[in-house]
Amino acid sequence: MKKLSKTARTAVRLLFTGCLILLGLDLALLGHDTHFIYESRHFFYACFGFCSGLIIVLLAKHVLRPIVKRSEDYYE
Amino acid sequence: MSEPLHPVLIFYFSALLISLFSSRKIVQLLVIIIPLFGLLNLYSLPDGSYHQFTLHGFHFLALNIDPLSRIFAYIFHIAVCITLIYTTAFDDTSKLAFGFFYAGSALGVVFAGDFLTFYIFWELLTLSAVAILLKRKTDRAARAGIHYLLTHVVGGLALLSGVILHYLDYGSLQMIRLSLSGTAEWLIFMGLGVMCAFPLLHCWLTDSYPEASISGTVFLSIFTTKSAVYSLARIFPGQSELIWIGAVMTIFPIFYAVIENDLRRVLSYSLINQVGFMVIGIGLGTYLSINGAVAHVFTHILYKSLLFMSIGAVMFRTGTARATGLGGLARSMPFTTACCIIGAASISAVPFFSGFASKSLVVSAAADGHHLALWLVLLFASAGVFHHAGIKVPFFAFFSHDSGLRVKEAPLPMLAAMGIAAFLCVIIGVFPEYTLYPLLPYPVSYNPYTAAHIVSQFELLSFAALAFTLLLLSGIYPAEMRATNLDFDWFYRKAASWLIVAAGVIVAATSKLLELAGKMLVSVYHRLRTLPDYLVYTTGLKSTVRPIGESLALALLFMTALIFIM
Repeated sequence: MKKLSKTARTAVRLLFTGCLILLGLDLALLGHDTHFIYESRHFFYACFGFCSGLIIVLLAKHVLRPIVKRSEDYYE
Repeated sequence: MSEPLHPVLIFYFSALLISLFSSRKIVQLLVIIIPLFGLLNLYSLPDGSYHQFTLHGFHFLALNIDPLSRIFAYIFHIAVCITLIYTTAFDDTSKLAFGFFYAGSALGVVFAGDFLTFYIFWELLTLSAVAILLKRKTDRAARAGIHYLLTHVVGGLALLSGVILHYLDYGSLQMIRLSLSGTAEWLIFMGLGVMCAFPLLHCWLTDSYPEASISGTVFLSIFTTKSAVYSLARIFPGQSELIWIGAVMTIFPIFYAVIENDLRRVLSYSLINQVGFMVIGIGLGTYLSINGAVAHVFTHILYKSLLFMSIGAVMFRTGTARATGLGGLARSMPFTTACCIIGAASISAVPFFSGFASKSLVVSAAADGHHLALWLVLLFASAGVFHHAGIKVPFFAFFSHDSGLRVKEAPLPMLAAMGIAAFLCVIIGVFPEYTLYPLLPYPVSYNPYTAAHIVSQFELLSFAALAFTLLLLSGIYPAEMRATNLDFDWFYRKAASWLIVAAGVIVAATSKLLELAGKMLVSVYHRLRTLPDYLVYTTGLKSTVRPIGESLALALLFMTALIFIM
């Protein structure tokens, strides 16, 4: 883990707290009156958002970049 | 009754007028007054058809105003005003003149009521965009300009061919709703697809936008693709092929944007992602989805130009838009940072920002139609755009590590333009029912601000941000690198040249082989011709056998030719 500045530590703590509050609100408010069965599952949006973020970065880094990366003056 | 003043004429005349003035103060005044006058003129015009005439048997309709063309025209007026205010901070008046001409051509496309007028403004739009690109006067900009021009010439030819075939089929040039039922419709569709940056036809966009000047990129981001989205909404609403074309557009740019170092190119990829949402909305074809697509055009023009303007301001002060050379500018440029964050929040559809009010319409339309796979794609794309445009762009430009750059805040006209755009992003986001929804082409009975919707959207985005944070802290997030990332244009920029060399080698080898075969054939022909002489000479046969040899030789030649032809 990288060493963080005080401001960055505060931002990360705020994010963690916000995520926890949202999980609580999810339990209270979501899960009713939905179009798809997935929406009615609690924490669906949290899991989907988190997994999407991981998939995007890992695929971009380990699959796309090795295939497409060339020197900056490749076309010159 | 006299014809009303055509909005295009105001912009074209302004392009001439503004190039006459060199005083920056007068120009700054004009760039505010002219679009405001244009807006008033447009507001005063009731829906209807104006400027109609017949020439050589063709019926032209140059000004067709209905709710669809009106909302596009409104946002084009607002955007040109904001961008020109921004541009007066540093550029010469000739750039402003091109800006007016470019915006005027986009208005011409939007108001055209027949295919020929539409095509003429379509080509003028391309030419003025190329002129804006070339104004940067660098080698890379020139190459990007040629790339832009060639791609759009091909797209324009497809469009023109489609229009001609359509006229031959129907005997009318009136712009009507079409479906993909024949060659003419497919050609028109593909012509629009080039300008809309459909997948595989998109490389002109990510190649050229980051190479334009600071203001040029802002201009280009507003008019070209949105004119194409308008055309799709006008000609192909409800065309189901658009749904999956749009879905691909929302997904693939995300991966490129994550590994891209040039922040203006990151924004160019995210532009394709956002246009994908609009294309899906048009493809779904319901009132809600088309309203969503049009609303997304309106908000996208504001927040995307805001993002390009804030990165442009950074580039203006630091000389670079590459993430590797930036970082820690929030203290030096606090207002620009705030504007960039507002633009980032809007593009990410954070509740109470403009993107939320528009994107929700498209996502809800997909859910209402029970398109499960599409709905999941849209959620994935929403998380993805937050990742690269919502977090990456402001983070690497203004926060991240301290690059050591200590610069002044952006000049006042830039701040004013960014401030207006940021204000509109917030006001539309908070009060869409009073600002945006009344302008949409169909009546809206949609409320994006239900508790469940707000919580689910915050949850999606916050946990995507959590993934970003954990990946960054653990060192897994890909480091920014100076590199060229190959895209589909590699096939015609590199592979095609190799193919041409290979084809040249094959042609040269074949011609050598044919030359050898020809020499052998001539030699055999001569031997056959002289055979009777030889026989007469050696055996004493009568000279009448001589023609037999010539006939044999000719028959051989004829048979060889026949084999080649078959």
